[in-house]
Amino acid sequence: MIGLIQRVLIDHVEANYGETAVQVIAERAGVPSPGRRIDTDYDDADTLAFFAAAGDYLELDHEALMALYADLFIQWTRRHYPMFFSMAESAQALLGRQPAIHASLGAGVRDPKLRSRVNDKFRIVEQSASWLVVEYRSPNGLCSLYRAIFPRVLEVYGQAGELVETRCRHRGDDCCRFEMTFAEEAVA
Amino acid sequence: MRRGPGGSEERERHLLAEVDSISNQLCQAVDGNFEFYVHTDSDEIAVQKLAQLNNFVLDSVRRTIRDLQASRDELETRVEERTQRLNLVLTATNDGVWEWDIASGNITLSQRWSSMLGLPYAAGQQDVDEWLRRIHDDDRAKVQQSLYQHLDGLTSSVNVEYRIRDARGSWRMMLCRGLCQRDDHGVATRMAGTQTDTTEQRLVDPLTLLPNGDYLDLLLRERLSHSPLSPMALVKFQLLNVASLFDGVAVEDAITALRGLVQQMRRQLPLQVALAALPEHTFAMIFEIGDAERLDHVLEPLEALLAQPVEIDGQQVWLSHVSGVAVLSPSEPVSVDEWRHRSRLALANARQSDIGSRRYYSESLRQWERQNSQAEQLIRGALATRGVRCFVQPIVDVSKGEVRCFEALMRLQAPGGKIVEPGSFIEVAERSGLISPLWEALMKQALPMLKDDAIRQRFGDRFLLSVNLSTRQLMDPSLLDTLIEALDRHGIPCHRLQIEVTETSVLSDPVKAFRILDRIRAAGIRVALDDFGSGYSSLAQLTSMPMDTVKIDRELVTDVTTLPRKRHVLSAVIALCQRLDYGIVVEGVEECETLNLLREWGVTDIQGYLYARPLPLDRLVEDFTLLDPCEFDTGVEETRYPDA
Repeated sequence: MIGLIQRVLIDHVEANYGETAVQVIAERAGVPSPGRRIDTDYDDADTLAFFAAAGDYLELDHEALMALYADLFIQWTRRHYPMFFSMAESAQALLGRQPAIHASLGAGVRDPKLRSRVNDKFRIVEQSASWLVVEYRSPNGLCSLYRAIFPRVLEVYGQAGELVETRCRHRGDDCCRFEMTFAEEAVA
Repeated sequence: MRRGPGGSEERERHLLAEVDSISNQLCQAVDGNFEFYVHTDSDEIAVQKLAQLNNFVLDSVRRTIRDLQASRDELETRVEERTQRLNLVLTATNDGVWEWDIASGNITLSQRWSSMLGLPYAAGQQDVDEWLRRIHDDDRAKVQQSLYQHLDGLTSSVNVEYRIRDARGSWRMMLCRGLCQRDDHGVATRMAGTQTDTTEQRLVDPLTLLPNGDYLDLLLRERLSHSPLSPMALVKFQLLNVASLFDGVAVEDAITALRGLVQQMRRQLPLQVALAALPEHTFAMIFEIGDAERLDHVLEPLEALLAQPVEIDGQQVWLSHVSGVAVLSPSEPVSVDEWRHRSRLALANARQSDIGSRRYYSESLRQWERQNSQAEQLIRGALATRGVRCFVQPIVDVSKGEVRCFEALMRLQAPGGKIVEPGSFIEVAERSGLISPLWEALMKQALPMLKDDAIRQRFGDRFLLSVNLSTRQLMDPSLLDTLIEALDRHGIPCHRLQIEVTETSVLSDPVKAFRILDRIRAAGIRVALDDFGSGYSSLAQLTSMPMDTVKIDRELVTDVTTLPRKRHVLSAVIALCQRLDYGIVVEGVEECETLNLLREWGVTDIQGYLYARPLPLDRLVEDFTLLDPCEFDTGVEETRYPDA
């Protein structure tokens, strides 16, 4: 998994619970040295283990952790990649560009297999002014994270919308599929 | 946790060093090389971001290049496939391709275009004049006109055929087709098209596969353009009875035999002498020889070949030929048309002579030609002014004292009233195709005599009408139909008509002639062999020719009473004909002594001045009375007709 995902969580724990908390979580996760580089793809199992250990440490279940993480992620990326947000004039524009942004994070990965694994995770299936369909293919099964991020993106742009996950790997589908609608009028 | 260096100055130096490191790595792109990754060891997110997004840009560039390369490869593959398909089509159609860049005035010619002319392939553009220069002088203006007319928008395409010189110096016929590409304002930017080799269609005789008359024309013009001129001779051979090859065999076999013969003819000639096929089984060649003796020597192998029979379908066919030669003297150059005309005259004159004859053009042939021309004018004038006159001469059965037959004889009335005999015009009539209308005009007058009351009252209802047929008429497959149609039109039964053919006519193509004569006799029309003994006569023909009567020529009869050897010959011929059960008519009988001799030999049918000269049909009843010419010393009182 791309290092940026883990970095957001590490920065949060380190800033709010200290460097020791990071080491404790790492030890519990069995990952002695959790990766912090945003341009590096780290082992998925290590990352997922670190996330699980962090949930335990923070006493949050998965959904709560994902909700927290979504907030952190939006904050972190708005701070470090403000251009991506200003380039998009709407939530659907940002989410429509999300697969490309995700791929840009894996651009530094030299191994073609690993790079294509990053690149192929998200795919735009349909896109219109008020309609967006995205497929997510990853054994990590972090569709809950996407679902958590969606309302926060709407919030950034002051928009209303709805996401329905019509397919999900956790339900035995070959991928997760998000069908999103966006209201034309901005939220008051 | 790894940390960046402490202190703001140190951090700034560190950041600068990392940014500089990334910049240095990006320097690799100046060579157009994007196959690298930017790497940083920095823990600074900004630096990692910079590296990450540079990698993204590099990856995008690589992907774009790959996509472009893939598109180009696909495009090249499609272009290659289309080129291969186009090449296949062009190869199959024998076409070359040309492209004219209007702005530069230069032309690009395909490899095929060059190879069609045996030229080395010149890649790249060349001056359009390089193309035009190779085109025949007489065709160049036509080609330029076609190109410029289309260029100026006057025509929808270029479509022009021309002669062009190949690498060997020979001429080939090409069909050029092309179209202009124009810009939005209709201005031509380029013109492109194909060149199709039509030599085989235009310059090759389809029957013999030899170069044809148009190709000979090219050669003649070329030879005459040389300076200084060399003595040259245009030689023409004509095979007179090629039709014999086609008798009774499959057409394909006959054509194969003919092609084999012409290839053998070609091999008898020097390599540099082309053999061209002209209409009517005539073959032409140009020799750089002006001396008749040397020419005869050079033509000996060809003569020897033509003296041999052609093997076809297990049988041997003997072909007859004549030849004509027009020698060109460098001191008296003539035009191509005149040169051809001279050779044609020489050949035509040879045709009037014996088989195997060769005639050289001379000024005397001009006189002969003028006479022929006058004869043709005479015929055409007579046809237009009802100047075709029917004369008749009786053939008398002396044993019964009655007219057995009247021979219808053609005369032409010239302006001024002069009566012209067939010897002055028949040959020309045959050659010019006027023999048929002449013959029809004669029959139109002659056939009604069989129904004429006055004639019937005087000569009865049993006499035959005998008419002469020329060689051309005899060989006409529709002859029988023509005869029956004419008889039907006048209500005359077939058995009252007799046709007379000469041995020469029959011998020109015996197989065909026999077949036609068989059909005529089967229809009830009688057949007589005319002028037997007047020239080269074959006794063999007597045994096989389908006929009823032999008419013995006056040449065998004249002086028969005073020349014992001649008498022996005549008596032998008569005896032979009698044994073969042919009817016999002896022509040219002018004396009672001859008549008496013939009577002794059992000959009954006599034709000659002794009974009557040919007289106008319309004077027959008035001027001819059948008497025994030898009963009185004075003989028959004779009426003379002017110039008859």
